[in-house]
Amino acid sequence: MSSDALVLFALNATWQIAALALLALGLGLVFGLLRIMNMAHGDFVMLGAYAPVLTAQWGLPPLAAIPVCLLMVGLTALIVERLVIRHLYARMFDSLLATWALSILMREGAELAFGPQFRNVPLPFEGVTQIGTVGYPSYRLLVIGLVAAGFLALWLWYRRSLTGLKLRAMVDNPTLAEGAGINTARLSAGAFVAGCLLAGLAGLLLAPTLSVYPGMGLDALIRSFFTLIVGGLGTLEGLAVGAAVIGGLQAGLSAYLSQTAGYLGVLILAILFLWRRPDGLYRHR
Amino acid sequence: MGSIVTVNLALAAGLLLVPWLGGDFLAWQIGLFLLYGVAAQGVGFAWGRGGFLPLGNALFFGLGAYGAAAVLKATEGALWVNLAAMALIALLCAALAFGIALLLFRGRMGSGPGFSLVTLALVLIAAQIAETTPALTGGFNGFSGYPPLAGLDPFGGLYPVIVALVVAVTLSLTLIERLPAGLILRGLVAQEERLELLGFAPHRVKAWAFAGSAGIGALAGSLYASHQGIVTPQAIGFMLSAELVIWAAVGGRFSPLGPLLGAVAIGWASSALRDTVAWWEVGVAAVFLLVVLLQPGGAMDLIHRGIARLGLTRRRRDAPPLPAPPSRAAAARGPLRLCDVGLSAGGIRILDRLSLALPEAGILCVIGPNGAGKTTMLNAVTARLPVQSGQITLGAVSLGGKATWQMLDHGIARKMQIPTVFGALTLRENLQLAALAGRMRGLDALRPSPLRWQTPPVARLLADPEVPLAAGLDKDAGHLPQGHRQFLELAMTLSPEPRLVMLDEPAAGMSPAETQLMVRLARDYQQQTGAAIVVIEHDMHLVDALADEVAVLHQGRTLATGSLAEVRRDPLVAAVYAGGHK
Amino acid sequence: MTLQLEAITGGYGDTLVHRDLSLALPAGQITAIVGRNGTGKTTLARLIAGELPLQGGAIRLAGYEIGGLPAHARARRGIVTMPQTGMVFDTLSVRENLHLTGGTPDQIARIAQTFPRLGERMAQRAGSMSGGERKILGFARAMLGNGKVLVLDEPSEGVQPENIQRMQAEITARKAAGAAILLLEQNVSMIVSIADRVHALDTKGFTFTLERADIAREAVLAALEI
Repeated sequence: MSSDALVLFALNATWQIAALALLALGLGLVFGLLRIMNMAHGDFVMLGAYAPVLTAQWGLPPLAAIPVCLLMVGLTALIVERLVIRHLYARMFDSLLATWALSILMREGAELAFGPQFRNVPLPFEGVTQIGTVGYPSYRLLVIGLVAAGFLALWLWYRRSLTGLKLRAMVDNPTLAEGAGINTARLSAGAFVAGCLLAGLAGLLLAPTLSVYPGMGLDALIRSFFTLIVGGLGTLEGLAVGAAVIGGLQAGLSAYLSQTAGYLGVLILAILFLWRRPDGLYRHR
Repeated sequence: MGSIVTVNLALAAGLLLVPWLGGDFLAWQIGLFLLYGVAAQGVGFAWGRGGFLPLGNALFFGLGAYGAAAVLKATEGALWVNLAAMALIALLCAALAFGIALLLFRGRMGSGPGFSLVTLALVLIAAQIAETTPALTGGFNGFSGYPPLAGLDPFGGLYPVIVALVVAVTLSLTLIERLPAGLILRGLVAQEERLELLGFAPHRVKAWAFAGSAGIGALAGSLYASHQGIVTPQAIGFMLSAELVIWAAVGGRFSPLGPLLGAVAIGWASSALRDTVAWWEVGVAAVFLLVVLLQPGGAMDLIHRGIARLGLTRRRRDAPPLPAPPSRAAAARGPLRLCDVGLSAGGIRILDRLSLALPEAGILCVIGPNGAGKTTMLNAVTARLPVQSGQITLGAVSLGGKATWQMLDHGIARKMQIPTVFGALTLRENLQLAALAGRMRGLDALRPSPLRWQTPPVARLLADPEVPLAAGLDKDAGHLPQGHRQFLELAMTLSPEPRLVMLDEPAAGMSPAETQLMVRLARDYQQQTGAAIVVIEHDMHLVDALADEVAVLHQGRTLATGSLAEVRRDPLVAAVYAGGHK
Repeated sequence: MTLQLEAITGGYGDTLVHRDLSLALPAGQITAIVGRNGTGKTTLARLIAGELPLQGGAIRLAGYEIGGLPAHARARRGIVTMPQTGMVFDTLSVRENLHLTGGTPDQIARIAQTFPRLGERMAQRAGSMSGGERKILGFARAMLGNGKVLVLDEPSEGVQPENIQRMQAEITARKAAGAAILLLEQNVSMIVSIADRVHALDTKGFTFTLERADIAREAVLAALEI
């Protein structure tokens, strides 16, 4: 392998890892903080990915996609939390099924609203950055940078803030947390909406690199799941590690064997982790 | 029994009328969803009865379908060969599921989403293989070109065979609910830890349930191959797995008929209306969501409640109790000895080369400051926590490497610090489960009479007017106040007549009078059986009334042993523990 | 501050445990309730904390009606409960448990001196401690912060006698500082040592009351047997 090919492979792997970490972040947040397996996670990604499609349709400037995405996803998440999620905290299977029903609802709803066809979202800016002798799309490099910065910021915040401690206390023992003066209803609603907003932003950022259609959520969901499984359900560091392992494995196997081998490799790895290391590679305590 | 026969006869008659009333094409359509319904019954059984949700049961449906198709192609219509081969495929699928569940549940995986995700990953793998190996499965185009089972017309003679399968599966699932096996499954969902202390291996119970679930799915799949004449990757995919779960949820996962109802009603209506009504899929999803939120028991739960309101349910008569067979826990095995046991958890050394020899008979009270390692010592004996060094022996047998569920067969029973009872079961059912403990063997799980077993210790407790259990036998144990739970847990602990009883703060949450009663019951049991009893306690009144011998633990070691008066005189003990009473 | 229960009714859904129960918890007093198992002592604690909804009557804190407030709002007004079970955050460290109740570093240091076991285990996960140690931590949590009404559900259960003595000293100190304290206990010695007033509870409500001068072991035992 020439050094150019090696650099390109490394860049592609980094891109895959960053994209996976971004995709899985919202799911990990909601599961880690609320113990809710949000099966509709992928559909919030889908909703976010439609934001640039809609802004283009409405003739708004491309940057307007950000507020459109936040508004659309945030409102949906808020309504969903009020009507559904709020009643299902601490009921793990029920929340899994309810969000699954929600996922079908959002997917079918999107098909009615936006139509079943595939959409292409143009890159917000073209351009290639030269790294040595290799050129790589600037947009992807920007996303990689944003993901890295975002992870660092979140990690610092969670470690230091009292909110982080309150969230952990709430997950541990909601009744006692209420007794300690923590408004658990507001705190958990906030955490759920934040997780969905992250999913929506992931959709928005990744939209130019994916095909956008109502059913795109399932793939996003499954990939996020397996990232979380390998990384350990519920910590930021673990999520980053999981994304690195899954993204790296998939990139490697796909490059040397086939797309199918990459997919099967990820599935088998996920099963092994669920079986032997249910806490993932990285354990918080 | 009568009602089971009636329901299943009505089911068979109703289904057999379909081709007469609606024609062969309708029967063919319904037949497909009956087969899906049987697979959904399998999902409902694992989920509603076993308490774990399989997200990938199309794996077994698909394996059954591909397997049957291959057999039909190879054997060309010899009926008995075909049937035997299909039964074998179902058995193999059940064995596969049994193995998977055993491996997964033996480790640290509970009934949580981890298991669901593994089954999801397995079905994704299976679908990927089915799609990408055309030589084996026909790939996307599917596997076809084989004759139907025994040359039966999918639009005619096959339908009664499908109905026969539906009735056989429904009948079996209904019967299991009334047998010890069904009670054990409900106990598993209600309180896994207590079930384990009663000598049942949770991972095996779950593996049996999953095997049943998979076998049922494979049987349905093998008829599906004949019904469709082609097997495509859709039969082994994630979407079908997902639909099986939805049907089970909406129809009602706690009832054998529920998933069948869900599959036929929703599945058939969807196939008819999906293309004409734009909002149909959204509507189904909304109904699914509402069921999960508001009606977790599904449609069958509503129907059952309706029947109950009409007063149509018959009260089950209580059959007279039968004397229980002898318990394996009652045999004498020699005294328990802990030798240099070391145990750390979370970086803290809790047991520090603890050595303690228990008497072979009589009552030993263990006292000591909070955090001395008293409960941890019991956890080490019952393998709830792994021991890092040292030896625990019972007579000549080492308990090292044994699992918690094996302890009862070694004669060891334990009452927990926070009482564990089967909250969702009635007191009577709690005691029925305890009567099976240590006594059930072989096929007893599938015979009705073991549910009538009554054990000598429980009979004595129920006959005791002071014990607050006999009055509320048909109430849910979950509604008992803490103190009464202690007595129920004691009854369940003593029921298998163990030789070594470990009681962890048996009088916690009890009034002085209840505490005295507890003392008397423990004393009586010791005298009647000659067993050894270990009691952890802080209340010196209780220690004084119970103890033949006292051991003082401090910082994970034995500080002193002897009579209560002796250890009280010991200056080392006085320095760390004064003692008091309630 | 005085907490006043005025004819409160409540329980678990349709199953009412208390009907029209009235009780005053005066500031600067230790009020104990004794009664057999199943008379609803824990239910009463949960009704005061706001874990269970009030289905009738009123709860007044210094005259101000708080019966309709959610649990966290009552906690912020100074009602602190130590539940009988689940009294600590198992996955948090001892220090985090104490910190979360609003204990200042000084207060935490002081309580760690009172219960040396906690001081030694500040960084340990609460869930890995023994049952008795968790009780002590749960008790310490309730003592920190500035609770004005302390509801303690079986604090001494499973706790070694020396530590029960220390608990009694802590409770008495909070009483002296003006807190209203409700003690739900089976431990007769503890009640006899510190309670100012004892109410006997049975399934129909309060049957009789013992004042400080009458609180003796035999009298309390008699109340328990009703």
